[in-house]
Amino acid sequence: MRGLFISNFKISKTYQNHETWVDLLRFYASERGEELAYTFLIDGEEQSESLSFAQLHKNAQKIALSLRAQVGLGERVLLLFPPSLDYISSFLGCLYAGTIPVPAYPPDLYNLRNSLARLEMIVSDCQAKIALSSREFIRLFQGQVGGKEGDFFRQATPTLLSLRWVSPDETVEGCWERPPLNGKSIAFLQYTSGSTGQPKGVVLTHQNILYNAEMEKQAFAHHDKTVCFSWLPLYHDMGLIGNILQALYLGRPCIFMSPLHFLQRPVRWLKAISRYQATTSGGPNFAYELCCRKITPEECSELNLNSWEVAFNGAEPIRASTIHKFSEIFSPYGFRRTSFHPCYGLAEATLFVSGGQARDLPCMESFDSQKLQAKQAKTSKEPDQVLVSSGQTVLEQKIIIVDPEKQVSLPFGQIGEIWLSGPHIANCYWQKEELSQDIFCAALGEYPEKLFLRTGDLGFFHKGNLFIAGRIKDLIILSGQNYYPQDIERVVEESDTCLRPGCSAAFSLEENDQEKLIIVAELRDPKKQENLPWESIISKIRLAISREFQQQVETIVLLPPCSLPKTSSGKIQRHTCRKKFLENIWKVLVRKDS
Amino acid sequence: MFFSPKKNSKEPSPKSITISEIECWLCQKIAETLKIPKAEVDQQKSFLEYGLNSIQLMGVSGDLEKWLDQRFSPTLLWDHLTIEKTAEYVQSKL
Repeated sequence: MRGLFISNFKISKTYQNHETWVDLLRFYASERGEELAYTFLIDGEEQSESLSFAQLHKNAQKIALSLRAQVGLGERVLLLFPPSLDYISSFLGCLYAGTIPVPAYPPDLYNLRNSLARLEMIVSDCQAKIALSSREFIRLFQGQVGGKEGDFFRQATPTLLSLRWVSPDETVEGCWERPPLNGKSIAFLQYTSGSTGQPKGVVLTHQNILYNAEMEKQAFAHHDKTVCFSWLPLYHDMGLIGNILQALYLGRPCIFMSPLHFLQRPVRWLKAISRYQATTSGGPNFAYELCCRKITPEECSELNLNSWEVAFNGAEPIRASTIHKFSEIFSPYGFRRTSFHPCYGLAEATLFVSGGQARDLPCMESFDSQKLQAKQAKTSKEPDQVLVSSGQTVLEQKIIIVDPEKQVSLPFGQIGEIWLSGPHIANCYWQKEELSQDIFCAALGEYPEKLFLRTGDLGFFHKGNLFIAGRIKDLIILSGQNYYPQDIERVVEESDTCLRPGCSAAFSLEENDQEKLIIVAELRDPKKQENLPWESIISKIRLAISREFQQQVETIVLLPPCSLPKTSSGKIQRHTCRKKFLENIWKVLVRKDS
Repeated sequence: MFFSPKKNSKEPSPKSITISEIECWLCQKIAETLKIPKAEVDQQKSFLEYGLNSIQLMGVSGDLEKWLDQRFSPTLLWDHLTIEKTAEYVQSKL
């Protein structure tokens, strides 16, 4: 393991000289005030607006003054914005006020019920009393919108309506003073979803994020000519920390656009990289896959991807085939395979954990798939199961592979839970003491002085490279979004009264380099099977999944009662379900592929 | 007249495109995405009932932009929900 051989870490002056993000922005505002900080592509193509470091500093001061007139130090402030420069100014304004921003996804107009319920839970959990938001959202949440839409919001959002809503445009006379902050002060709460939809706010300090920014800078070999481009959502780790804050850490520009404009026409991503000569840009594996599928040769004529040094790929399983395909299709336009930078990270570790060697070919190995299932990593000469490594540790972080039951570290080549320790690891979830103790304070005999974060991810080291080998929990990842099978199963079971509660299983299977959602569910009454309206049950399941999660179900299988394998305590065994599905050994009543 | 979704956007002039041509184009796209015969696509059925996911729906609106050489909202298909209503709206914007 490379980490074992590093004794003297070289840490940049940026990290050494700045205790908080407030100090860092003040520094850049005075040193390179007129230089470009952010450009937002309003329509994803031509229209844009920009901010320099000096303007950003001024905006943050103004917002801080207005906030401090209304709330005290350390108060949580909900941030609710569409992708915009205002969002970035507001985030930094909260830090300048010594308050704690809580960035949240804006309500999804096509999945209002769920997204508002989630927002309500976040606001209750962090006990925010105030929200900074765009004029449009303020009108909605202050109850100024009439008609059906207004009624809906008034009923669905008692907590949100009780917040004080503030626009970043409001001004208060006065002189900004630096709040009493240090590296240990909380910078912001990063909400992640848990199963049963209960959100958890990862508490990140200024120091956590600064250290992680230094890790990312070193792993990506960022330099004084780096230019970031991002279409990722701005509200959590990869978009906010990996792009927006990384650029600020470097004092370099970041150009960004709405994820919707990317998904609508993926070529916009590559066009923006070409136009702005971006050097760092990335996303989950599905984004590269989408480019391969959707971009036509005619659309490529203006592409020039020579500048692209770091094409990071993280947040979902990284596929060797995607890396090959993407490199092949886009190398005529200047893309280099060595730019691919597979990486691994999670919100509880701020963001970044490990990444491949910058400017090197991504490390791939073929493993014996049967041995992998038996938790052993043994390479195979045949192209059996090709895994892409998520790289190596950075700086003083420790990555240890642990037997999750016995809680002892495992030798190289054995698969276990990934445990982490380092200055970037958060201390806790916001006001969830018991859970935080379990997740953030694990102990290992060999390192009595350290506390470890349990990631819940499975992995192993091979020749010093970290490989991810699934999760302890059965998380389903579809197009870069995490779904807990319990949540999907609940929606399935509620979609039709013919289905038995607690008797369905959701899991995913790989097909043509994409994860596909499979649902197996038991029917209630075996005697009336002949008369059951299959078509309607199937279509109700599809509709429910599509409404709640905007996902397509690949295959639905309906089974007689008591078909699904369960544990002695009655929990569905999804792994066994998956295996049985693949072996096709069920007495199936109906099977419907999409 | 049949328009292949892959056909270059420049001809014929978008102004002359009728609602039924747009419907036909959308039917073809949805059929391709779902891998079902075009005849099985119902113009009045909600896209959600087909189980199309958000990325697929945004992709169709992007393909429509390419075909007609004109910008539309990424959420165009959700906003109108059926082929019939989407086609009617799109034609009114040409």
